Amino acid sequence: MKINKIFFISCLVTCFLFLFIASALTAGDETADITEMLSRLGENVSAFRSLKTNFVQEKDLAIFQNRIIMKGRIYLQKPNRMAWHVDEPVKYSVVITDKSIRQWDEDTNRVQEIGLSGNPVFQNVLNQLTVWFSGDYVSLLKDYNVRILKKSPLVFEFTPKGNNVAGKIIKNITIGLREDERYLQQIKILEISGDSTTIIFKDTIFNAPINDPDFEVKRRV
Amino acid sequence: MKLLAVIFIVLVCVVGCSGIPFQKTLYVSMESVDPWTLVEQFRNNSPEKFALINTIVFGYNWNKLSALGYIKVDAGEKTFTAVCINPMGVKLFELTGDKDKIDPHFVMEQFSRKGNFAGTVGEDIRRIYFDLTPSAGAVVNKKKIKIVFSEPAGSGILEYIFAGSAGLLVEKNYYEDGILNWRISYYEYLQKDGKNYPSGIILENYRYGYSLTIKLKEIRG
Repeated sequence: MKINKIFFISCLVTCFLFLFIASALTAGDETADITEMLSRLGENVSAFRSLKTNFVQEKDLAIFQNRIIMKGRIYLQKPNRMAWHVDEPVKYSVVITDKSIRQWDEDTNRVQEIGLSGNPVFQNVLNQLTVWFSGDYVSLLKDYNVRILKKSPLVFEFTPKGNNVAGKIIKNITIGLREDERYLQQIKILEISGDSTTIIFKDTIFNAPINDPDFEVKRRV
Repeated sequence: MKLLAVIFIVLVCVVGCSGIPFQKTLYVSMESVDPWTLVEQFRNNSPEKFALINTIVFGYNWNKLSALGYIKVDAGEKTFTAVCINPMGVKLFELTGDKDKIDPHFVMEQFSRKGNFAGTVGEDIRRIYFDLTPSAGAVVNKKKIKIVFSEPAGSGILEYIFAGSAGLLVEKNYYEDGILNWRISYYEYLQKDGKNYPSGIILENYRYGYSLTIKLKEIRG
């Protein structure tokens, strides 16, 4: 009877050990898989010199259970130029380079220039945008836990790690890739408050010639 | 010298007038209009519960800041919920309020550093959207092209001015010790489901030296 008991406990311990090692190995495999996948995606997504895309931005405000929709265009030019033009419901443009931010809107009809050197907040925003739009997703692994939500087309969920200050505002960020995995299909930011922002990219064109007016903020009103 | 002064005054007028992005109400004779019938009509045609999307320009000194606002008002219950986001979709503030209190749910740090930001915004929302008609005890001053109602409010006098062919509220003015503290001007009313909505509103706070220019973009029920 005593031998049976010892045998039973040994079996139980062995099972637990097996399960523990197996799950650790699986987790290790999964992390390695994700790193490899993100690295491959990064290469795909970053393989452009310039990019033009239309976007629809859906802002869901928890307090209203209602949605605000903004439409516009984004232009990226490597190494460090980005233009974000909103066409609806208000006309607004911002052009960001590594040195400055210039913005304009139809209501004020003024161009404002903000230096980046004295603006750590803007610099941080710029760094974030650069990472999300340029595909350097492996660099996010130090600040975010990543899991795959869907394999075809690929959907990743990034959750801020405990020490990441973004976790005070952001619950998670989901990015969905296009079928051909060349660029983002959409990016969804879910906030702790319950608000969410979804940016859906449409009609993305790679390496099309970008004209200087695309990087001008002031428009005719 | 006299000529210079006249030129200067004309220039100030022209520049001042061109700063208003709305059409001024065309004043017509109000001689045959009964003041209280006008107030009754305006009250009946004013929406009680509504949600609006606006663009807002906040002007302070020579600085201007543009944003998108979503506001839900119950004028009967005197409650409101307001969210303001910048044109890139970043939330600037979110607050709810009624006639007695303001609850800030979120205020971006750069605004909350500047005194009682939520209280000031909430008070402006009340002034703009609540109490749009004078009480029965108001003093009536019938002029040729406008009807002015005055009544005590707080430690000052609140003035309602009705004018135009439709006899609508065009101004709310608040005086303390004979000095104009703030003015709200309503422009370009439009109708939806038989109710009147001003598509342009300008609040000028002379006491604290700032202005709000609000353009109606969408009415949501």
